[in-house]
Amino acid sequence: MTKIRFVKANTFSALAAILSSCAFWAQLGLSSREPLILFVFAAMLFLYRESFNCDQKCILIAAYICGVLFALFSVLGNLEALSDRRAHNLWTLIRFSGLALLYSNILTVIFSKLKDVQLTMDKNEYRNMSARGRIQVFFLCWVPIFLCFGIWWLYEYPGNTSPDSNHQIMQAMGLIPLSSNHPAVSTLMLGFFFNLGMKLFSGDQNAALALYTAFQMLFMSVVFAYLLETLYEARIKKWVIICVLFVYIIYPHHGSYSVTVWKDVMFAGWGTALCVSLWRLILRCRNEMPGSSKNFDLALLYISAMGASLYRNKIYYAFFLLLPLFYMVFRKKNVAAWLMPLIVPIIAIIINGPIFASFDISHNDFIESHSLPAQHIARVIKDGHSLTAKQYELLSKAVDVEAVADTYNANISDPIKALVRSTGDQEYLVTHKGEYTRLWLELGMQYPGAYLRAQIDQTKGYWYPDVNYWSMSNYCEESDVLELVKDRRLPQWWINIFDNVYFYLPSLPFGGIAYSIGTAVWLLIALFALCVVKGMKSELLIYIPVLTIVLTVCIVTPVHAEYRYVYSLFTTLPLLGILPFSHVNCNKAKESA
Amino acid sequence: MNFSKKKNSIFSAAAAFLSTVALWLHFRLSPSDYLIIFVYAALIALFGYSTGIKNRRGLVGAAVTGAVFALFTVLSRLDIMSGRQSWFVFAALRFVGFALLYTAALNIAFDFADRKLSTMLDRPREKKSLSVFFTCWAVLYLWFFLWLLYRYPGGVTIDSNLQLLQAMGKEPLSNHHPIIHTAIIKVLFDLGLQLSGGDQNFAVALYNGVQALMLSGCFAWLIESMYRQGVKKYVLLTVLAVYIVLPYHGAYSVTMWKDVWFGAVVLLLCVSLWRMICAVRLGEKFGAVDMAVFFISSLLMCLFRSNGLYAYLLFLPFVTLFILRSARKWAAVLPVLALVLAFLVKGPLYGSLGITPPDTIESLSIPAQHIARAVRDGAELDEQQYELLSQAVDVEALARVYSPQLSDPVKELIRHRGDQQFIAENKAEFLRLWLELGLENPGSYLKAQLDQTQGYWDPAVQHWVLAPDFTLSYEMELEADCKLPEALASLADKALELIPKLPFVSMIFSIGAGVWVFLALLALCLVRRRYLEALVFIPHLAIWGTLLIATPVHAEFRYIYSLFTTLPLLGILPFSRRDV
Repeated sequence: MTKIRFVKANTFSALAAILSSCAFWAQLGLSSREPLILFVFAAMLFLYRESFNCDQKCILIAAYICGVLFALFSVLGNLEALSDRRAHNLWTLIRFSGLALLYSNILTVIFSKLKDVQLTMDKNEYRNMSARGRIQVFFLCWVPIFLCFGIWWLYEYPGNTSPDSNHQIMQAMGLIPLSSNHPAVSTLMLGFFFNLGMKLFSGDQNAALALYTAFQMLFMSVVFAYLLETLYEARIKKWVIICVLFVYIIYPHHGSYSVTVWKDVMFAGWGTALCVSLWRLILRCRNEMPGSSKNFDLALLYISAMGASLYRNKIYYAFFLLLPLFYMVFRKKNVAAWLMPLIVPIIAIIINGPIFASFDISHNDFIESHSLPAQHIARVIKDGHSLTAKQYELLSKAVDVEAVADTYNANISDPIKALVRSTGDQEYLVTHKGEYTRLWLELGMQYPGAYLRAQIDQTKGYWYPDVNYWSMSNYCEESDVLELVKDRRLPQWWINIFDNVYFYLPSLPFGGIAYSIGTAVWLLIALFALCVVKGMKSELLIYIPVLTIVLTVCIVTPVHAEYRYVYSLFTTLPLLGILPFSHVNCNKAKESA
Repeated sequence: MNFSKKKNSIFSAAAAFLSTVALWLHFRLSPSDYLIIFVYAALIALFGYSTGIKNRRGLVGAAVTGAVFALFTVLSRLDIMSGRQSWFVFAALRFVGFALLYTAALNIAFDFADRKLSTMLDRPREKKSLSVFFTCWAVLYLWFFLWLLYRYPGGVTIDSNLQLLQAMGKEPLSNHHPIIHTAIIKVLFDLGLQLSGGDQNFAVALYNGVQALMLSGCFAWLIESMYRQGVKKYVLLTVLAVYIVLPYHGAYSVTMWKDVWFGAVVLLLCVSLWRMICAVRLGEKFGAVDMAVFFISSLLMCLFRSNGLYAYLLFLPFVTLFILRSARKWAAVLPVLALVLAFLVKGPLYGSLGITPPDTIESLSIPAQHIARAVRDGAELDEQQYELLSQAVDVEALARVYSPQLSDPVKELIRHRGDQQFIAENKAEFLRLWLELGLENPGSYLKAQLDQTQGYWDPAVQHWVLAPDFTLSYEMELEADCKLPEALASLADKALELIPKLPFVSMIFSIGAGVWVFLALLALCLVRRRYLEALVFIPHLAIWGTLLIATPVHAEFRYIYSLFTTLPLLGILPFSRRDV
């Protein structure tokens, strides 16, 4: 290293390390004399010296974009840090720049080290497989997963339910009218198995529910096994596949969710299947998966896309936005594939429209689909901002304005929705949509800070890692109508082990991180960036469905950190984590040719 | 990647993980705190660099020091996971994690010092250095004079007030505050009153002005000594800057405390000792000036603080041995003579002058704190123990007034509502009581001792450092009267208010941080085989030890100010030349 570069490197390292240490100190709210901050500073000094050696533009750009984004999330997620100080704005700026430098440089080092890493088998390790061989691999992966889920099924027998699940079960039993609050397909599927179970087991509701959860368990284990088999066909190293298998077996949410009655579980399964089939088609287009059947993969693409569209309300609209991307990737190679984002939503609209209309399904009330604007306005009132007489009068027709401040919960919209339902006139809301839209816009322009804080609090759990919120249910929700009772079918000592896993794991260092939605989202973004760095343009498409789900949740979520809403991210993460290492770098391939 | 590199990588990853877990536990972070992942990544880089350093001696030195720091860190937050059965496992985990972290950091620091700082004393030695002395003295005194103007007439606290009243004859003389200091106050205060026609403000300012002159002179002598020994000019300028920039030197120079004199005296002792060591290294005899300063500063160290005598007692064998192995063996009588004189002055001489020694409870404040803590923690006293204790103090009130970090409330309770005479006459019984309760409640005693001394080994402890301006006594006529322009004074006020709130910068006020730096420098001295120079560390080690045993306040900066006056000298000792 020349002398000038040496001086530059050390100066940059020292200044950046000081800034990052100060940011770290501020973010954690440490004492000003905390000595450990000096050692953190020393560690950062070495980190920056190492990152300074990287001069590849694409890595630096990708790392800094991610770093700045993560720093923004960190600061917005912890706006109250040092808020009691006079120089709060200055400290916020220090936090932002220090953390941006820290994240960017860590990512620079990581991307540099991972840029040339491949997880594909050597030619002599891999044998071209027949169809029989592929089925064997599939079953080798499916059996352990299914057995493990089976143990969860026995532990949680007949399965886990929540108020949402009970609502769907009652709809399925015909006790209450069908409603589009939950996707109709999900309710119908649940109804099919539940009613079949009632017939087979002489009206035993527990057994009927267990039949449905067994089906769900089978479905999820098949999806995961298919992902693993695809990894093998894509020539991923065996030890990696075994690690992924372990993840699906050991990570508690997979087992627990496989027997939890939520539409989100099936949606996640369909979402993962969609990503797997996309990848298979991309590999087929490059002749990297010669053994697979093109028609089968295409059929799976359509079925999984259809499943995902029907298992979450209105998600199919997002498919239209994906059309240009599908076109860019598949274009002349596979017309049926690139038309999928057009065809599937149209079918879904027809099914959800005229077809389900014949089932007499009631639609959500107004406030259900407008809960987020309601939260924004409620935050304005909660923060004590003044309303004009006209604004007050308009609002008071929709809700009891005086009760809003006490009712408002920054993290969940249910209290405000309940208040509107009980004290407001929703019909008036529907017939005066224009006026309320104008009111929402007016208040937003007058008090943008309140809207921003409301949106941050409402969505924080999906982009800020340090949010603790429940994520697993292990009970049967009590109901006056249903006769479902938790009836664990394992020996007590085994139940104690499971209970300890529930209790202790989330409280361990790094343990809580494994449950954190925000951490998974950051990992998703970093992996996406790594794909960009490695020039894997087609593979980027596989990230898009999951990114879209996360984005839509961030815009319209009623709860700030509901794990099940983004469970598809966790089911697909192993695949997304391997993708950047699954293909020879395009430039390198050209060089070696 | 060869085997050694792979082994180092695995070790780095594992060590970084343990250290990260220790940090997570220590900061009580939430399980989903993501910053810890980034710290982990940074720590891997740190450990990776440290494992590449091939210096076994340095590593051993770093490991021992790191283990000591780790112990301090764990002891500073013993309550972490304290409700759990696995408390000890978590404490052990924290200890191992921190020991690894500190070892790695110190290993790197020692290596850096070895490679980059070992030429600090590479300039040729100088014979003529008076100009350096006077220049530094002038610059420092000018700066301290500005402080005097800023805080005119200077800092006067409760202790200072009491000494002033003693000097004025309004209170009986007591060796609770050293008589020699009270005598100096008296001489200068009376002179001031005479010169100003009775203006007490001027009299106090005169005293503080002379004190500042004395302190700046001592600092200047250190810099001059460094210059003579061939320390590079950038280092000299850095030391001068340290004495100017660090606010407590300026503030303390004009605060009426014995601790300032004690700090200066210990500095003189260390500098003279170092000059004697340098003479030995050069194969020369000790200079007469050095020996004289050594003797006088030794005597004054014993007289200026009560723990100074005990610290000197611990230091005596080492320095005597050093002198006996030098060319001037007869000089070994000097430290002994200083100690003997100190005993004679404090004993028969003070007694003949009617000077009252500190009361009984003053010297028993630490055992009193132990007993008070045990009682507060619910220790069961049998009938005999309760009866004995209740004759000395109100036992119920003892638990109520007990403060873990300050012994004054318990001392005041015993003074005003207890019977010290009874304690003095039944010392053996109370000693037995203290031992009995200690064996029955070791946890309470340990926690009491830790809380009482925490500021002297835990850098994170916050406590005031710069004295408030004044404590007015109804018998004095003192008044704060800043002589600086208002804008400048306001700027100074804001700066002093801000510094303790800033990360990194506020560490300058941390006693624990100073102690850690001191211990690291001592380790570096031994790693670099500067065994003679390590002698200079012993007085501070002894002073620190006496504070760990018997400090009445958990983090009083002035009690250990002598460490901070001498720190610049201690900083260059590991890099001294080894000519002989």
